Amino acid sequence: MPRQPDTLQGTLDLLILKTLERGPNHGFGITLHLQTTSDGLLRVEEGSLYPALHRLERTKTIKGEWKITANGRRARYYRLTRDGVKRLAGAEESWAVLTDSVGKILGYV
Amino acid sequence: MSILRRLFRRSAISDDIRDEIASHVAMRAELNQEAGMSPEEALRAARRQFGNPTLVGEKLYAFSGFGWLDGLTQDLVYALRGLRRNPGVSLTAILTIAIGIGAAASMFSVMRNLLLAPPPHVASSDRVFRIHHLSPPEEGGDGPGEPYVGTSYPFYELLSERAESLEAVAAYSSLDVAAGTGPDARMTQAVMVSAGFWRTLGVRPAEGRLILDEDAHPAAGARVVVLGHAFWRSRFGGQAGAVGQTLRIKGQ
Repeated sequence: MPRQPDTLQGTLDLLILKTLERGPNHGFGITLHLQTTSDGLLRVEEGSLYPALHRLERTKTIKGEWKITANGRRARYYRLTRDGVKRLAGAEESWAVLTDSVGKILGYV
Repeated sequence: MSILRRLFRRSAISDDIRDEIASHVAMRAELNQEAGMSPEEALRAARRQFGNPTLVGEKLYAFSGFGWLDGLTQDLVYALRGLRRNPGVSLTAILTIAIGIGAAASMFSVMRNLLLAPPPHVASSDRVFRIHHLSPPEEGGDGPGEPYVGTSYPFYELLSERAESLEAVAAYSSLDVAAGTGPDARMTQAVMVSAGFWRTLGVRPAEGRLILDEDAHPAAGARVVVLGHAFWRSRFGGQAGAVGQTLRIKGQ
């Protein structure tokens, strides 16, 4: 299967993991969270989130489970696994290093 | 059994994916409606915002990781588990297959000796051929006619004189003859052979000698027969003394 460039994919993974750090959520909830907290800056097709969710579930970084929402609707809730917590920490660190390095290069005149 | 199981699991997965997408679109539509859209409008917008669900579903399917290797491993593990869980059934199945294979193998070895393997007493059997004639094609028909075995004596003579690519040519003809005289006489199957028959096949006799070229001379030739093993057993009791005895064929 064709793969996205690693950085892009890694970024989406990081955003998902970070969102789930606040507690279990379903795909739509994650979408809403990403859109509102980024002030609508991250505007992608909402469906494109799901491949990432399922990939993360397959690598046992997150775990999905069907539950009933507060509005009485069935939804698949995802939560971080113990592995996921570790991976989030690692991903945040790499992101910090990446943005720091890129920032330094951009700031170098 | 395990293929069925996999199919079921696959469809469960795609149902899951469909449900998840539907759930997402419904929640988005709800939100759109709260923002003041009509129900149809809200649903349409929600679908547009989601993107192409088929495409997403296909991607998800690929991610769900039922690659062929994965599936094969699972099938194998499942099969082994099944074998261990039902040792009686497993043993019966293994025995059945073993007996089946054994029967087929022994049948084949018999068939190979009878039909496939070259006759063991013929020297260089890969160079011995039987000549077939083809009947003339039918009127208006295409291709050669029917093949048939058997030829005329003149054709045999022509072949042995002129066919230079052949080392030797031999002919034979089967017939029923009376062997012995008086109360000992029996009808038996015999084969008349041309002079070079035994030489051409390269067969060696168990006892005595075979028919030589000079035996074929109409006047001077010796009148000799080669006995088959079964006839030797029944008529001469399987004794080596059979060589040199007289056997009257057709009373001669």
